[in-house]
This record gives sequence, structure tokens and C-alpha cells, in this order.
Amino acid sequence: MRAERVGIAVVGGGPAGIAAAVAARACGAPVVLLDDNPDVGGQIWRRVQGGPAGVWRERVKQSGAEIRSGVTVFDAERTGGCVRLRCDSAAGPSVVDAERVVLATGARELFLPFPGWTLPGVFGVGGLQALAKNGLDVRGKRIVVGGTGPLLLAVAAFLNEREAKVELIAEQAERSGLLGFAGAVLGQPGKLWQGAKLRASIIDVEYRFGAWITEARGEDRVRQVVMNDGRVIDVDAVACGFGLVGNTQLAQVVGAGIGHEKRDSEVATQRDRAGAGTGHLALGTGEGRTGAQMVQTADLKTGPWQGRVVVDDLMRTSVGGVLCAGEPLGIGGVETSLVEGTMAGYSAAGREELARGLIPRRRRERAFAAAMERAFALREEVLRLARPETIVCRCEDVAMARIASCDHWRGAKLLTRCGMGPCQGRVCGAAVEAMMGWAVRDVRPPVFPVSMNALSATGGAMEGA
Amino acid sequence: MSTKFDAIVIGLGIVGCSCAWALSRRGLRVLAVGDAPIGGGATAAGMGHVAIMDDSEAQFRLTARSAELWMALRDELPPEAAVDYCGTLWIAADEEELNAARSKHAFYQSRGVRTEVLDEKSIADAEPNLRSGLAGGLRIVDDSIVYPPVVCEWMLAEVTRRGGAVRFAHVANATRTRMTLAGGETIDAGVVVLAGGDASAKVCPWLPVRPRKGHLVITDRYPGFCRHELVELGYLKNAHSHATESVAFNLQPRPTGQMLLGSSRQYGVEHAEVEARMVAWVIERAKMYMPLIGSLRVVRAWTGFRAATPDSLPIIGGRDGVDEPVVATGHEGLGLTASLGTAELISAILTGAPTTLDAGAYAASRDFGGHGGH
Ligand SMILES: Cc1cc2nc3c(=O)[nH]c(=O)nc-3n(C[C@H](O)[C@H](O)[C@H](O)COP(=O)(O)OP(=O)(O)OC[C@H]3O[C@@H](n4cnc5c(N)ncnc54)[C@H](O)[C@@H]3O)c2cc1C
Ligand SMILES: Cc1cc2nc3c(=O)[nH]c(=O)nc-3n(C[C@H](O)[C@H](O)[C@H](O)COP(=O)(O)OP(=O)(O)OC[C@H]3O[C@@H](n4cnc5c(N)ncnc54)[C@H](O)[C@@H]3O)c2cc1C
Repeated sequence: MRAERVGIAVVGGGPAGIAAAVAARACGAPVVLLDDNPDVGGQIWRRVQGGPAGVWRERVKQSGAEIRSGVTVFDAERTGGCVRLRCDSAAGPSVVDAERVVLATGARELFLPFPGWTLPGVFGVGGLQALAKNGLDVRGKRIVVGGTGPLLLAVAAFLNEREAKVELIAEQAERSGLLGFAGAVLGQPGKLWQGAKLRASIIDVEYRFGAWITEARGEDRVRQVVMNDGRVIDVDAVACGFGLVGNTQLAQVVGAGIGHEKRDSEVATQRDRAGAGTGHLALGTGEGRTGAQMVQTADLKTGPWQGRVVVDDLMRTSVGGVLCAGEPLGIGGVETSLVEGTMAGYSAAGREELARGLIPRRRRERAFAAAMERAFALREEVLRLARPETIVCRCEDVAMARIASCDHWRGAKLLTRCGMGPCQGRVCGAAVEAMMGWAVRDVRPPVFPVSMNALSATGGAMEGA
Repeated sequence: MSTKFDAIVIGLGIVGCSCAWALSRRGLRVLAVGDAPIGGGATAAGMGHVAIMDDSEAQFRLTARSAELWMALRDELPPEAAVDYCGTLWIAADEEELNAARSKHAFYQSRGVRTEVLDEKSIADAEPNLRSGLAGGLRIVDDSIVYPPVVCEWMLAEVTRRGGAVRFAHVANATRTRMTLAGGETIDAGVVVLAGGDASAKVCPWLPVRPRKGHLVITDRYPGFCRHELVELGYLKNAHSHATESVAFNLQPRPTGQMLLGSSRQYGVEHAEVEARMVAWVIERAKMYMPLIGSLRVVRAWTGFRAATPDSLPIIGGRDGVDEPVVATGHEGLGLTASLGTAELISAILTGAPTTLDAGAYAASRDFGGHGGH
């Protein structure tokens, strides 16, 4: 098994990770970039050639950073003056001991359960996009794209290009709510242009505000969707996007402080859900393996439920030597990830003054992201679509009624086995967090399923051959 | 509080829930109190193996009686309790261990427990993924597995239905008839039972219970990979040696097709974090019995703390003339199994309910050989 000591390890090869590697290399620091995909680029630049994707990919390849693709980091631990990353890949397990680690682990899609969401033919927007990129033929297929956020437009435009018949884009946010968002966009001409361009490419598609899917119907697969105004639309597929959730698992496992709701920390008493979803946020005590306590505070007033890694102005988490950038700090989009990645790279390389220089830009990007988050905040009706019998945890077949009878995530897990299956709550955990207002904070290694052999080899074997 | 309870039970693990449930069945109004979710604590971390054990006569009696009670309860429990009579297979690696299996067989037979000695060929047939060349084994036919947190929830629902209540709070201290919550509130009852697992000594400092950490991992789904609860025969030696650290092969098939792999035992570690080194050790041990297991995928690892006593027997009952709660703890690695027998005994002590168990062997007033008792 490979075991080595490196200066800076960057986990994640999306925009944030790429920018971090490039910045740290520009300061002359040695960098290893670990990413679990076949090539760098992350969610958005995967398989995209020209434009910023091409530019940044070229930059990181020229930077002298050692890029290791196809490597999954499944555990991180602060030990003996370094951060130990335990990794697995087709070539076998490995251990990387890094002086500094930048966690740039990006985001995943949020899936919210609604009646019929488990039917074949119902996809996440990102999932359907990825399938289509990988050769799934969508030509002539009738598709409703529903949920919230700009990703709906991006994916609808993409599907349109692939000659799918996008019947409707249903945006749950009200148009009025987006007016404030437009204000934020005015300070960001680039973004406005991007939005306008997207809009133009789907000019013939019906785009509705205040609209959402309440049910998907069909026996063997999805055949129809029912909209909130009662309208029924025949479909071949559904693409849902309820927004993204940051991948904070690795940060949690290493013990980095996570901002979360206060309610859950007082081990839930009585069945009192009065304060749920009111957006009252407080900082938790980020106790991890190191017993590190939260040291930073941050304004987390947006997004009432989503936990995020807390960092200071130099992208440092509460655990020494561990930095974080991009989506795990709160969904921010590509520009935010690029700025934060760059700051984290400088900071990890010891060039704090360079990182500091970017603070105003980061602030602008985060303000924009916060405005976006407010504009596309999930409405109560959408969070309440699941019926008592709707399956929430697909791994363990747990229905909404069982979950709703519990008081907190840990109780729900213990009593219903929700989140105990192969995905370990990566899907249902975020949904439950959103629907119930519970903080879901019980990540344990490995953060991805990994073979016994890899666990054993990276853990330091005591017995056997 | 306006309502007066006949009994307070501290701890919502399987032992506390069983005691609360058994007392409420005898007509008592019970208040069950805990500072962790229902079925939390060691109960959530454990394997859920109901095993009839033979280390000592006292241990045998308690586990065998408990197994009977589990059997009687099986049809009342909800399906989510996932009761499965898969049986235990003790693996004998060599002739010496096979001899041990034979004497165990004789022990169990003479006490009416159904067991069967397996030779090299029949153990290979019974569990095709075991390595070849094992000497044989011993099958305990009526051992089972269960998912304890659901049982806890079910028991407390029964308690509530019979006029009892459940409360989530930390108990700062307690006497025989009164408990004081962390916030200062005091609640009186006919009697207080302490079933606080490895934290019991925080309330009753004399208790000679020491936390003993264990690691488990759970795999992805591999239906049929193993069929019985598998345990190496070296397990007994390990489990009851008081070495600082030990590991023994123990694999359990879950009804979902997942498998639980254990287990380790460590004294002197207080933090609950998963230690990569211990996980590696558990896995390497397993590979000595099941070489193919190395390629299976693990979805998660976790830890829990057993409440160990100096003589490896639980502590059940109260000490005369001392104003402290009646205790029910110290079950080490057998608390899930022994919970029902423990509850029967507590109920007998407090209400005079019938039991075939002899309280003396588990009494709080017994001699712990210099530990506790002062
Ligand atoms: C499904 C999906 C589709 C999207 N589509 C669009 C779109 O069409 N247009 C748009 O503008 N934005 C899109 N976004 C948003 C966009 O991805 C982000 O704004 C941006 O990519 C964030 O960059 P990042 O570097 O922070 O994270 P990411 O781009 O998510 O990069 C993180 C990288 O880290 C890897 N990684 C994570 N954990 C580990 C680990 N433990 N070990 C090894 N590698 C790891 C991930 O596989 C990924 O390659 C999409 C997001 C998602 C989730
Ligand atoms: C890895 C592992 C595997 C195991 N496998 C098995 C097995 O296969 N079969 C088997 O029979 N046993 C097994 N065990 C042992 C079994 O899990 C325990 O013996 C059993 O769960 C103990 O139950 P309990 O109710 O006494 O303690 P716990 O489950 O620990 O519950 C005690 C509860 O009391 C609460 N508490 C403590 N003090 C206070 C206080 N002051 N105020 C309020 N609440 C308090 C705690 O929060 C806790 O929730 C295993 C244990 C481990 C660690």
C-alpha cells in the first residue's frame, strides 16, 4: 500500500479544488489533488471542453500539481502533526499524510420525497443531465422539469438541445420573490447575461413561477405528473431539482465545526416541533476526533436547515491544518468556489496576504449566493409534499409517517433505520434535514462505502499475513 | 409533580426499558427517564445477538432464562424488531477448540439446550464462506438476533399505555425513592431503579463497572454470504480475559442482507471515536476465518461501551440499608440477551413476582474481590 507525506493535499477536483491547487502551486507549494472522478472538473465542468472549464483544466494541469483522479478519500483524521487521508482507488488503497488539507468536496443534489418520486423515470436534474451526457437518448421524450433554482433552466436548456420535448419548467418560487434576486444580479452583469442566454435557448418552453409537482403517477414507471394547480401532464420522464447540499461529511469526520440549528443540540425533549424551520441558527460545538471546539462564528442566517462547514476569513476550519472551500461552506456556485478555492490555496501555502486580498470579492459572491438562496428558498408546501405512506429512505424502505413520529434524526435512525442503508443517509439525510428541521450530524467513517481490505490496509493491520 | 409514580427507571437502553416494561406489567406506574434517545447508549451500538452462554452457571441461568423470555415475546414484537432465529455457530479452528466445543455440547445438552457438534465437512456445508480446514464447530440452535432499539420503543409504548411516562433528562443523583434531575427538579417514587449502563457509576459511585469499548462495522448487502451468527471459539477466552485490548471474530447476518462484523474490546479508552487501527484489527481477524470477506464493502463503522464488572456478571438489585437506587447494570457484552431475565429479577425483587432465577449470584452486595463494595 502506498503511504506518503505531502505538503498540501486538495480533496475534490471541481472549480474550488482546481483553483486551490493552482493558487498553492503559484506560491511554490507542493500539491497533490485527489478527486474521485476520471478527470478533474467537478460537477459543472465534467466533460466540458472550451470556455472557463478548458482554461482552468489547462491551468491546473500546467501548475505542477500532482493530479490523482479516480481516488476516493473515505476518511480524514488529525494525527501526529498532520492530517491523514485514507483513500481508495482502482489501483488499491493508499494513505496520504498532509501538512495541510483543502476540502473542496462540492455538493450533491437534494432529493425531496413527494408521492411517486421513487417511480422509474423520475430523476434528479443533475442525474438526468449526467445520463444524457453518457448517451441516454432523450430525443422526443416528454419531460417536466420541476423544483427550484437556476439549475432548472440550465438542465432544461441542455435537454432542449438534445431534442427532448420539455413540456414545462415548474419553478416553485414566486416571481415576486425573485425581484429581490434581480436586484442582486444587477451588480453582477456576467450572471445576468448567463441567465438571459439560458432563457433565450428555451424560449419556446413554458416557464412557470409558483408551480410545483405534487405527485408523479404511473404503475411501472412515471406516466403523468400532477401540478399544484391540479393540472395533469403526460410525461415520459421527470427531472426534479430542489437545490444542492454541500458535501460536509469529510469535514465532519475530521472534526471541523459545522454551523447548525440549536434545537437539535439539546437532545430533543417532548414532541415539540414548534420552532422547526424558523431559520433560527446557532453554532454547534464541532467536537470531532480531535475534540476540537468551534472557534469561529459566522452569519448563517440563510437556509434554515442546511449544515455548513464554518471557516474564518482565511478559509480555515476549526481543525488545525484543515481548510475548506466552495459548496460545503454553503451553496455558492462556480464563481464563489473559484474565489474561495484560490483563497484556500494561498492560505494553505502560507501566503495569507494574498488570500486576504480576495476577501471583498468573496464577500460579494457570498452576498449574491445568499440572495439567490433566499429567492429560491423552498416553500413550506414543497417541504410537505410527502404523504404518510411516501417512502423517504429508499435503502431501508422507511415511510414518512414513521419518520414524522420521531423527535430527532438520531431517534429516527435508531427506530426506523432511516439512513442506515448503503447510502448512509446521503440522500434521505438531507431530505429529512430539510423537511423536519433536524440537524443531521452523525457522520462516521468511512464516508463512502469501501472494501474491508482498503479499510484494513489504511488502518494499520495488527494480524494476519 | 402532581402524579406520583410507583417506580422510576433511569436509562432508556434495553435493560432500563425491559425493567420499566416488566414493572408496568405488574401494575406499577413507571416513569422511565434517560438522557439519550430511546434505545441509545450501548444498546444502539450492540449487535443484538441473543446468546445462551456457559462461562459460569450463573451466567448460563440468566442467559438461558432470558432466551426463553425472548422466545415467548417473539410474536408480540413488531416486525421491525427483526427477530431471526438464525442460531449461533461457534467455530473451532483446531482439535483443541473442537474438544472445547464437545464439552460445551455436553454442558448444554444436560441443561436442555439444543446444540449440535459439527465436523470439518458439516461446518463447511453450513457456512461455505468459511475457510477450509477448520476443525468443526458447535451450533446453538435456538440463539437468535433482534434489533434492540425497536424493542425498546415497543416496551416504552406499553409502559405509557399502562399509565407510565417517558422523560428525556439527565439525572444528577438519586436515592432509593427520589431522583434529582440536572435542572434541580426532584421526583419521588416508590422506588428508583438505575439502569444507566456504563455511566451508572456516575450516579452510584461505588459500582465496580468499567466502560469497555467495542468497534463494529456494517457491510453493504450480500444476502446469503453467511447464515448463522458466527463466533470464533477463542471468543470466550478473549471476552473474559481482562487484557487491555482484544479482538475476536464475530459476524452476524442481518435480515437486510447486510452483515455486522465485530468485535473488539478495549479498556481505558474514553473517547467514542472510531479508531482505524482497531477496525483494521477486527477485519484482519475476520479474514483468518473468512478470507473472501476482505472484498466486501463496508458502509460504516461505529463504537459502543459495554459495562464490565470484575467477575463478569451483572449487578442486579439493591444493597440493604443504603439509601441508593436499586441497580441493574454491568452486563458487559450480554446486556441485550440478559435484559429480559434481569427485568424479571428486578420485578421479583420489587414486587414479589415469581422467578426461577436466584438473585444471590447477581446481588449488589456480593463480594467483588476488593473492587467496589465500600
Ligand atoms: C448534480 C449537479 C449538477 C450541476 N449542474 C450545474 C450546471 O449545469 N450549471 C451550473 O452552473 N452549476 C451546476 N451545478 C453547480 C456546480 O456544480 C457548482 O456550483 C460548482 O461546481 C461547485 O464547485 P466545487 O468545486 O465547490 O464542487 P464540485 O464541482 O462539486 O466538485 C467537487 C469534486 O470533489 C469530488 N469529491 C467530493 N468528495 C470527495 C472525496 N471524499 N474524495 C474524492 N473526491 C471527492 C467530487 O466528485 C467532485 O469532483 C451542479 C451541481 C450538481 C451537484
Ligand atoms: C460492540 C458491542 C456489541 C455488543 N453485542 C451484544 C450482543 O450481540 N448481544 C448482547 O446481548 N449484548 C451485546 N452487547 C452488550 C449490550 O449492548 C449491552 O450490554 C446493553 O445494551 C446494555 O444495555 P443498558 O440498558 O444496560 O445500557 P445502555 O444501552 O448503555 O443504556 C443506558 C442508558 O442510560 C442512560 N443514562 C446513564 N446515566 C444516566 C443518567 N444519570 N441520567 C439519565 N440517563 C442516564 C444512558 O444515556 C444510556 O442511554 C454489545 C455491546 C457492544 C458495545
